Amino acid sequence: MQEKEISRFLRVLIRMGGALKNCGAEVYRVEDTLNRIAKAYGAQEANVLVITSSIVVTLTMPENEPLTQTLRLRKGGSTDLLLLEQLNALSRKICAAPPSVQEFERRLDEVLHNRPDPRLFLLGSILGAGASTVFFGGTLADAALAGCIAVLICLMQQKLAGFFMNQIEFQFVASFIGGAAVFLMCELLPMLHADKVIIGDIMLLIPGMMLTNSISDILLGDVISGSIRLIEAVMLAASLALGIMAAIILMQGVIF
Amino acid sequence: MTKVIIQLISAAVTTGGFALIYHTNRRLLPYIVVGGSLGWLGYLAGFHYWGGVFLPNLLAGFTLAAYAEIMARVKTAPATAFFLPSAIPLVPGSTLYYCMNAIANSHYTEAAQLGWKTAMCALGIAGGMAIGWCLADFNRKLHMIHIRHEK
Repeated sequence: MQEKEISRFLRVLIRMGGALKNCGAEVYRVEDTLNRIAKAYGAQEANVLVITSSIVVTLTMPENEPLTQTLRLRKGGSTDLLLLEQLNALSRKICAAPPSVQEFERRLDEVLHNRPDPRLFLLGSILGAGASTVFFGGTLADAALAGCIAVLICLMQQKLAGFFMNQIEFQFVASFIGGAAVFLMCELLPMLHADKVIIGDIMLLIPGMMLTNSISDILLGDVISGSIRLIEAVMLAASLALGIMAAIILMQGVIF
Repeated sequence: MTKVIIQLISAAVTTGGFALIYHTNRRLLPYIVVGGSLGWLGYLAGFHYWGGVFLPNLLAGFTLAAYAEIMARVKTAPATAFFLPSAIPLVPGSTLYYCMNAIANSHYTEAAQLGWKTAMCALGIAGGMAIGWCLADFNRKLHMIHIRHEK
Protein backbone atom coordinates (compact mmCIF):
# COMPACT_ATOMS: atom_id res chain seq x y z
CA MET A 1 0.00 0.00 0.00
CA GLN A 2 1.15 3.55 -0.80
CA GLU A 3 1.17 6.14 1.98
CA LYS A 4 -1.86 7.88 0.48
CA GLU A 5 -3.82 4.66 0.43
CA ILE A 6 -2.78 3.78 3.99
CA SER A 7 -4.10 7.16 5.08
CA ARG A 8 -7.39 6.49 3.33
CA PHE A 9 -7.61 3.02 4.87
CA LEU A 10 -6.99 4.54 8.30
CA ARG A 11 -9.78 7.04 7.70
CA VAL A 12 -12.27 4.29 6.79
CA LEU A 13 -11.11 2.16 9.71
CA ILE A 14 -11.57 4.94 12.23
CA ARG A 15 -14.99 5.83 10.79
CA MET A 16 -16.01 2.21 11.29
CA GLY A 17 -14.82 2.46 14.91
CA GLY A 18 -16.83 5.64 15.45
CA ALA A 19 -19.97 4.04 13.97
CA LEU A 20 -19.54 0.96 16.17
CA LYS A 21 -19.07 3.07 19.29
CA ASN A 22 -22.07 5.28 18.52
CA CYS A 23 -24.48 2.42 17.91
CA GLY A 24 -23.79 0.97 21.35
CA ALA A 25 -20.81 -1.40 21.11
CA GLU A 26 -18.57 -1.90 24.15
CA VAL A 27 -15.07 -0.37 24.01
CA TYR A 28 -13.53 -3.84 23.99
CA ARG A 29 -15.52 -4.81 20.89
CA VAL A 30 -14.54 -1.64 19.00
CA GLU A 31 -10.83 -2.06 19.75
CA ASP A 32 -10.92 -5.77 18.92
CA THR A 33 -12.73 -5.20 15.60
CA LEU A 34 -10.36 -2.44 14.44
CA ASN A 35 -7.31 -4.54 15.41
CA ARG A 36 -8.59 -7.55 13.49
CA ILE A 37 -9.34 -5.55 10.33
CA ALA A 38 -5.92 -3.84 10.47
CA LYS A 39 -4.21 -7.26 10.82
CA ALA A 40 -6.28 -8.63 7.91
CA TYR A 41 -4.91 -5.82 5.69
CA GLY A 42 -1.37 -6.83 6.66
CA ALA A 43 -0.55 -4.26 9.34
CA GLN A 44 2.65 -5.03 11.24
CA GLU A 45 1.32 -3.24 14.26
CA ALA A 46 -1.99 -1.60 15.10
CA ASN A 47 -2.51 0.40 18.27
CA VAL A 48 -6.12 1.30 18.86
CA LEU A 49 -7.28 3.38 21.81
CA VAL A 50 -10.97 4.01 22.26
CA ILE A 51 -12.37 6.12 25.04
CA THR A 52 -15.92 7.42 25.27
CA SER A 53 -15.17 10.67 23.46
CA SER A 54 -12.36 9.81 21.05
CA ILE A 55 -10.64 7.13 19.00
CA VAL A 56 -6.90 7.07 18.24
CA VAL A 57 -5.40 4.58 15.79
CA THR A 58 -1.71 4.23 14.99
CA LEU A 59 -0.99 1.88 12.12
CA THR A 60 2.36 0.52 10.94
CA MET A 61 2.26 -1.04 7.48
CA PRO A 62 5.26 -3.01 6.12
CA GLU A 63 8.00 -0.70 4.69
CA ASN A 64 6.18 2.43 5.84
CA GLU A 65 6.39 4.89 8.70
CA PRO A 66 3.68 4.61 11.38
CA LEU A 67 0.61 6.77 10.70
CA THR A 68 -1.81 8.09 13.32
CA GLN A 69 -5.33 9.45 12.99
CA THR A 70 -7.84 10.47 15.62
CA LEU A 71 -11.60 10.86 15.64
CA ARG A 72 -13.38 13.01 18.20
CA LEU A 73 -16.77 11.60 19.16
CA ARG A 74 -18.78 14.67 20.05
CA LYS A 75 -22.06 13.09 20.97
CA GLY A 76 -23.17 9.55 21.61
CA GLY A 77 -25.49 8.27 18.90
CA SER A 78 -28.70 6.45 19.65
CA THR A 79 -28.45 2.72 20.31
CA ASP A 80 -28.93 0.82 17.07
CA LEU A 81 -28.52 -2.91 17.59
CA LEU A 82 -29.27 -3.77 13.96
CA LEU A 83 -26.44 -1.51 12.80
CA LEU A 84 -24.19 -3.14 15.41
CA GLU A 85 -25.02 -6.56 13.99
CA GLN A 86 -24.45 -5.39 10.40
CA LEU A 87 -21.11 -3.78 11.27
CA ASN A 88 -20.05 -7.02 12.95
CA ALA A 89 -21.03 -9.02 9.90
CA LEU A 90 -19.13 -6.56 7.67
CA SER A 91 -16.02 -6.86 9.81
CA ARG A 92 -16.17 -10.67 9.70
CA LYS A 93 -16.48 -10.65 5.90
CA ILE A 94 -13.67 -8.15 5.49
CA CYS A 95 -11.35 -10.10 7.78
CA ALA A 96 -12.06 -13.31 5.85
CA ALA A 97 -11.27 -11.75 2.45
CA PRO A 98 -10.02 -8.15 2.57
CA PRO A 99 -11.31 -6.18 -0.47
CA SER A 100 -9.70 -3.00 -1.84
CA VAL A 101 -9.89 0.09 0.41
CA GLN A 102 -12.42 1.69 -1.97
CA GLU A 103 -14.61 -1.39 -1.77
CA PHE A 104 -14.34 -1.41 2.05
CA GLU A 105 -15.40 2.26 2.12
CA ARG A 106 -18.31 1.60 -0.25
CA ARG A 107 -19.58 -1.29 1.86
CA LEU A 108 -19.28 0.74 5.07
CA ASP A 109 -21.22 3.63 3.49
CA GLU A 110 -23.85 1.17 2.36
CA VAL A 111 -24.33 -0.18 5.91
CA LEU A 112 -24.34 3.32 7.45
CA HIS A 113 -26.88 4.52 4.90
CA ASN A 114 -29.72 2.44 6.42
CA ARG A 115 -31.29 4.67 9.06
CA PRO A 116 -33.88 3.31 11.51
CA ASP A 117 -37.51 4.17 10.84
CA PRO A 118 -38.67 6.85 13.37
CA ARG A 119 -42.15 5.29 13.38
CA LEU A 120 -40.70 2.10 14.88
CA PHE A 121 -39.07 4.20 17.61
CA LEU A 122 -42.44 5.81 18.34
CA LEU A 123 -44.24 2.46 18.38
CA GLY A 124 -41.56 1.00 20.66
CA SER A 125 -41.85 3.95 23.06
CA ILE A 126 -45.65 3.61 23.28
CA LEU A 127 -45.44 -0.16 23.81
CA GLY A 128 -42.54 0.11 26.26
CA ALA A 129 -44.14 2.83 28.43
CA GLY A 130 -47.62 1.28 28.35
CA ALA A 131 -46.45 -2.26 29.15
CA SER A 132 -44.13 -1.15 31.97
CA THR A 133 -47.04 0.78 33.52
CA VAL A 134 -49.01 -2.48 33.65
CA PHE A 135 -45.88 -4.32 34.80
CA PHE A 136 -45.53 -2.03 37.84
CA GLY A 137 -49.20 -2.49 38.79
CA GLY A 138 -51.09 0.09 36.69
CA THR A 139 -54.45 -0.50 34.99
CA LEU A 140 -55.05 -0.56 31.23
CA ALA A 141 -56.33 3.05 31.40
CA ASP A 142 -53.04 4.03 33.08
CA ALA A 143 -51.19 2.25 30.28
CA ALA A 144 -53.15 4.23 27.66
CA LEU A 145 -52.18 7.54 29.28
CA ALA A 146 -48.56 6.36 29.61
CA GLY A 147 -48.66 5.63 25.86
CA CYS A 148 -49.90 9.17 25.10
CA ILE A 149 -47.18 10.72 27.30
CA ALA A 150 -44.67 8.45 25.54
CA VAL A 151 -45.63 10.15 22.26
CA LEU A 152 -44.95 13.52 23.91
CA ILE A 153 -41.56 12.33 25.20
CA CYS A 154 -40.72 10.92 21.76
CA LEU A 155 -41.59 14.22 20.09
CA MET A 156 -39.39 16.06 22.58
CA GLN A 157 -36.53 13.62 21.93
CA GLN A 158 -36.79 14.11 18.18
CA LYS A 159 -37.61 17.82 17.89
CA LEU A 160 -36.37 19.48 21.07
CA ALA A 161 -33.18 17.64 22.04
CA GLY A 162 -31.04 19.76 19.69
CA PHE A 163 -31.98 23.02 21.42
CA PHE A 164 -30.46 22.10 24.76
CA MET A 165 -26.93 22.61 25.94
CA ASN A 166 -26.50 18.92 26.76
CA GLN A 167 -28.31 15.67 27.41
CA ILE A 168 -28.51 16.35 31.17
CA GLU A 169 -30.42 19.61 30.66
CA PHE A 170 -32.74 17.95 28.14
CA GLN A 171 -33.38 15.08 30.52
CA PHE A 172 -34.43 17.53 33.26
CA VAL A 173 -36.82 19.45 31.00
CA ALA A 174 -38.28 16.31 29.38
CA SER A 175 -38.95 14.59 32.70
CA PHE A 176 -40.40 17.81 34.16
CA ILE A 177 -42.80 18.36 31.22
CA GLY A 178 -43.69 14.64 31.10
CA GLY A 179 -44.30 14.50 34.86
CA ALA A 180 -46.36 17.73 34.90
CA ALA A 181 -48.49 16.49 31.98
CA VAL A 182 -49.20 13.21 33.82
CA PHE A 183 -50.22 15.02 37.03
CA LEU A 184 -52.51 17.38 35.11
CA MET A 185 -54.20 14.54 33.24
CA CYS A 186 -54.63 12.54 36.45
CA GLU A 187 -56.20 15.60 38.10
CA LEU A 188 -58.74 15.77 35.25
CA LEU A 189 -59.34 12.00 35.25
CA PRO A 190 -59.24 10.91 38.91
CA MET A 191 -59.54 7.18 38.20
CA LEU A 192 -55.96 7.18 36.84
CA HIS A 193 -52.92 6.48 39.06
CA ALA A 194 -50.32 9.18 38.51
CA ASP A 195 -47.50 7.23 40.19
CA LYS A 196 -47.88 4.15 37.95
CA VAL A 197 -48.11 6.26 34.76
CA ILE A 198 -44.97 8.23 35.66
CA ILE A 199 -43.06 5.03 36.51
CA GLY A 200 -43.98 3.65 33.07
CA ASP A 201 -42.81 6.80 31.30
CA ILE A 202 -39.65 7.14 33.40
CA MET A 203 -38.49 3.85 31.87
CA LEU A 204 -38.10 5.66 28.52
CA LEU A 205 -35.74 8.22 30.03
CA ILE A 206 -33.77 6.15 32.56
CA PRO A 207 -30.21 5.64 31.24
CA GLY A 208 -30.47 1.91 31.96
CA MET A 209 -28.59 0.84 28.90
CA MET A 210 -25.80 3.35 29.46
CA LEU A 211 -25.43 2.04 33.02
CA THR A 212 -25.29 -1.57 31.82
CA ASN A 213 -22.71 -0.75 29.15
CA SER A 214 -20.57 1.27 31.57
CA ILE A 215 -20.48 -1.63 34.03
CA SER A 216 -19.61 -4.07 31.27
CA ASP A 217 -16.79 -1.74 30.08
CA ILE A 218 -15.35 -1.61 33.60
CA LEU A 219 -15.60 -5.39 34.02
CA LEU A 220 -13.86 -5.97 30.69
CA GLY A 221 -10.95 -3.80 31.83
CA ASP A 222 -11.76 -0.47 30.10
CA VAL A 223 -11.97 1.42 33.36
CA ILE A 224 -11.52 4.96 31.94
CA SER A 225 -14.36 4.72 29.40
CA GLY A 226 -16.54 2.82 31.85
CA SER A 227 -16.08 5.43 34.58
CA ILE A 228 -16.85 8.31 32.21
CA ARG A 229 -20.04 6.60 31.11
CA LEU A 230 -20.97 5.60 34.66
CA ILE A 231 -20.69 9.22 35.83
CA GLU A 232 -22.71 10.34 32.80
CA ALA A 233 -25.43 7.76 33.56
CA VAL A 234 -25.60 8.77 37.24
CA MET A 235 -25.84 12.46 36.26
CA LEU A 236 -28.65 11.65 33.80
CA ALA A 237 -30.52 9.64 36.43
CA ALA A 238 -30.08 12.50 38.92
CA SER A 239 -31.40 15.12 36.47
CA LEU A 240 -34.34 12.82 35.67
CA ALA A 241 -35.06 12.55 39.40
CA LEU A 242 -34.81 16.34 39.82
CA GLY A 243 -37.17 16.93 36.88
CA ILE A 244 -39.81 14.57 38.29
CA MET A 245 -39.39 16.05 41.78
CA ALA A 246 -39.83 19.55 40.37
CA ALA A 247 -43.06 18.39 38.70
CA ILE A 248 -44.32 16.86 41.97
CA ILE A 249 -43.53 20.00 43.99
CA LEU A 250 -45.05 22.33 41.37
CA MET A 251 -48.23 20.29 41.14
CA GLN A 252 -48.54 20.14 44.93
CA GLY A 253 -48.45 23.95 44.91
CA VAL A 254 -50.89 24.36 42.01
CA ILE A 255 -53.43 21.60 42.50
CA PHE A 256 -53.49 20.29 46.04
CA MET B 1 -50.85 -16.32 40.17
CA THR B 2 -52.81 -13.98 37.84
CA LYS B 3 -50.53 -11.16 38.97
CA VAL B 4 -47.45 -13.18 38.03
CA ILE B 5 -48.87 -14.00 34.59
CA ILE B 6 -49.73 -10.31 33.98
CA GLN B 7 -46.20 -9.35 35.05
CA LEU B 8 -44.59 -11.94 32.77
CA ILE B 9 -46.66 -10.85 29.76
CA SER B 10 -46.15 -7.13 30.39
CA ALA B 11 -42.40 -7.75 30.91
CA ALA B 12 -42.34 -9.44 27.50
CA VAL B 13 -44.20 -6.55 25.82
CA THR B 14 -41.96 -3.97 27.54
CA THR B 15 -38.92 -5.84 26.25
CA GLY B 16 -40.44 -5.95 22.75
CA GLY B 17 -41.07 -2.19 22.87
CA PHE B 18 -37.50 -1.46 23.88
CA ALA B 19 -36.21 -3.86 21.24
CA LEU B 20 -37.99 -1.60 18.69
CA ILE B 21 -36.53 1.55 20.31
CA TYR B 22 -33.02 0.04 20.10
CA HIS B 23 -33.70 -0.94 16.46
CA THR B 24 -33.05 -4.65 16.94
CA ASN B 25 -33.07 -7.09 14.06
CA ARG B 26 -36.65 -8.38 13.69
CA ARG B 27 -35.31 -11.91 13.17
CA LEU B 28 -34.23 -11.87 16.84
CA LEU B 29 -37.37 -10.24 18.26
CA PRO B 30 -39.16 -13.44 19.46
CA TYR B 31 -36.07 -14.61 21.37
CA ILE B 32 -35.54 -11.18 22.95
CA VAL B 33 -39.18 -11.05 24.11
CA VAL B 34 -38.76 -14.49 25.75
CA GLY B 35 -35.63 -13.14 27.45
CA GLY B 36 -37.66 -10.33 29.04
CA SER B 37 -40.00 -12.82 30.72
CA LEU B 38 -37.13 -15.14 31.62
CA GLY B 39 -35.27 -12.40 33.50
CA TRP B 40 -38.37 -11.59 35.54
CA LEU B 41 -38.94 -15.29 36.19
CA GLY B 42 -35.37 -15.44 37.55
CA TYR B 43 -36.17 -12.50 39.83
CA LEU B 44 -39.39 -14.13 41.07
CA ALA B 45 -37.61 -17.44 41.74
CA GLY B 46 -34.88 -15.61 43.66
CA PHE B 47 -37.47 -13.65 45.63
CA HIS B 48 -39.30 -16.87 46.48
CA TYR B 49 -36.15 -18.56 47.84
CA TRP B 50 -34.24 -15.72 49.47
CA GLY B 51 -36.53 -12.67 49.64
CA GLY B 52 -34.95 -9.20 49.81
CA VAL B 53 -33.63 -7.23 46.85
CA PHE B 54 -30.00 -8.03 46.13
CA LEU B 55 -30.02 -11.82 45.63
CA PRO B 56 -33.17 -11.95 43.41
CA ASN B 57 -31.67 -9.29 41.13
CA LEU B 58 -28.36 -11.14 41.11
CA LEU B 59 -30.12 -14.31 39.94
CA ALA B 60 -32.12 -12.35 37.34
CA GLY B 61 -28.98 -10.64 35.98
CA PHE B 62 -27.17 -13.98 35.82
CA THR B 63 -30.09 -15.72 34.08
CA LEU B 64 -30.22 -12.98 31.44
CA ALA B 65 -26.46 -12.92 30.84
CA ALA B 66 -26.41 -16.71 30.44
CA TYR B 67 -29.44 -16.64 28.12
CA ALA B 68 -27.92 -13.83 26.02
CA GLU B 69 -24.59 -15.67 25.65
CA ILE B 70 -26.30 -18.92 24.64
CA MET B 71 -28.66 -17.21 22.17
CA ALA B 72 -25.79 -15.18 20.71
CA ARG B 73 -24.06 -18.43 19.80
CA VAL B 74 -27.20 -20.16 18.53
CA LYS B 75 -28.34 -17.20 16.40
CA THR B 76 -24.86 -15.78 15.58
CA ALA B 77 -25.64 -12.25 16.75
CA PRO B 78 -23.99 -10.04 19.39
CA ALA B 79 -25.00 -10.98 22.97
CA THR B 80 -25.71 -7.28 23.62
CA ALA B 81 -28.69 -7.44 21.23
CA PHE B 82 -30.33 -10.01 23.50
CA PHE B 83 -29.20 -8.62 26.80
CA LEU B 84 -30.01 -4.88 26.61
CA PRO B 85 -33.75 -4.98 25.82
CA SER B 86 -34.35 -8.03 28.06
CA ALA B 87 -32.82 -6.28 31.08
CA ILE B 88 -35.24 -3.32 30.93
CA PRO B 89 -38.01 -4.86 33.14
CA LEU B 90 -35.38 -5.30 35.88
CA VAL B 91 -34.52 -1.56 35.92
CA PRO B 92 -35.68 -0.31 39.36
CA GLY B 93 -37.86 2.50 37.97
CA SER B 94 -40.56 2.13 40.57
CA THR B 95 -38.31 2.32 43.68
CA LEU B 96 -36.52 5.29 42.10
CA TYR B 97 -39.85 7.09 41.64
CA TYR B 98 -41.07 6.41 45.20
CA CYS B 99 -37.66 7.56 46.47
CA MET B 100 -38.07 10.89 44.60
CA ASN B 101 -41.62 11.19 45.86
CA ALA B 102 -40.43 10.72 49.45
CA ILE B 103 -37.73 13.41 49.02
CA ALA B 104 -40.27 15.85 47.52
CA ASN B 105 -42.54 15.24 50.53
CA SER B 106 -39.65 15.60 53.05
CA HIS B 107 -39.85 11.96 54.22
CA TYR B 108 -36.10 11.56 54.38
CA THR B 109 -35.83 8.27 56.30
CA GLU B 110 -38.12 6.57 53.77
CA ALA B 111 -36.21 8.22 50.91
CA ALA B 112 -32.88 6.91 52.23
CA GLN B 113 -34.30 3.39 52.52
CA LEU B 114 -35.72 3.49 48.98
CA GLY B 115 -32.51 5.01 47.59
CA TRP B 116 -30.54 2.18 49.20
CA LYS B 117 -32.96 -0.35 47.72
CA THR B 118 -32.53 1.17 44.22
CA ALA B 119 -28.74 0.98 44.54
CA MET B 120 -28.93 -2.66 45.74
CA CYS B 121 -31.11 -3.54 42.71
CA ALA B 122 -28.59 -2.01 40.29
CA LEU B 123 -25.68 -3.68 42.07
CA GLY B 124 -27.47 -7.04 42.05
CA ILE B 125 -28.16 -6.94 38.30
CA ALA B 126 -24.58 -5.83 37.57
CA GLY B 127 -23.16 -8.57 39.80
CA GLY B 128 -25.30 -11.25 38.16
CA MET B 129 -24.29 -10.08 34.69
CA ALA B 130 -20.63 -10.09 35.71
CA ILE B 131 -20.81 -13.71 36.92
CA GLY B 132 -22.55 -14.71 33.67
CA TRP B 133 -19.93 -12.99 31.50
CA CYS B 134 -17.02 -14.45 33.45
CA LEU B 135 -18.39 -17.97 32.98
CA ALA B 136 -19.02 -17.32 29.25
CA ASP B 137 -15.46 -15.98 28.84
CA PHE B 138 -14.04 -18.97 30.71
CA ASN B 139 -16.03 -21.32 28.49
CA ARG B 140 -14.75 -19.51 25.36
CA LYS B 141 -11.13 -19.92 26.50
CA LEU B 142 -11.65 -23.61 27.28
CA HIS B 143 -13.10 -24.01 23.79
CA MET B 144 -10.02 -22.32 22.24
CA ILE B 145 -7.69 -24.67 24.14
CA HIS B 146 -9.80 -27.61 22.94
CA ILE B 147 -9.50 -26.43 19.30
CA ARG B 148 -5.72 -26.02 19.65
CA HIS B 149 -5.42 -29.54 21.05
CA GLU B 150 -7.38 -31.01 18.17
CA LYS B 151 -5.02 -29.38 15.67
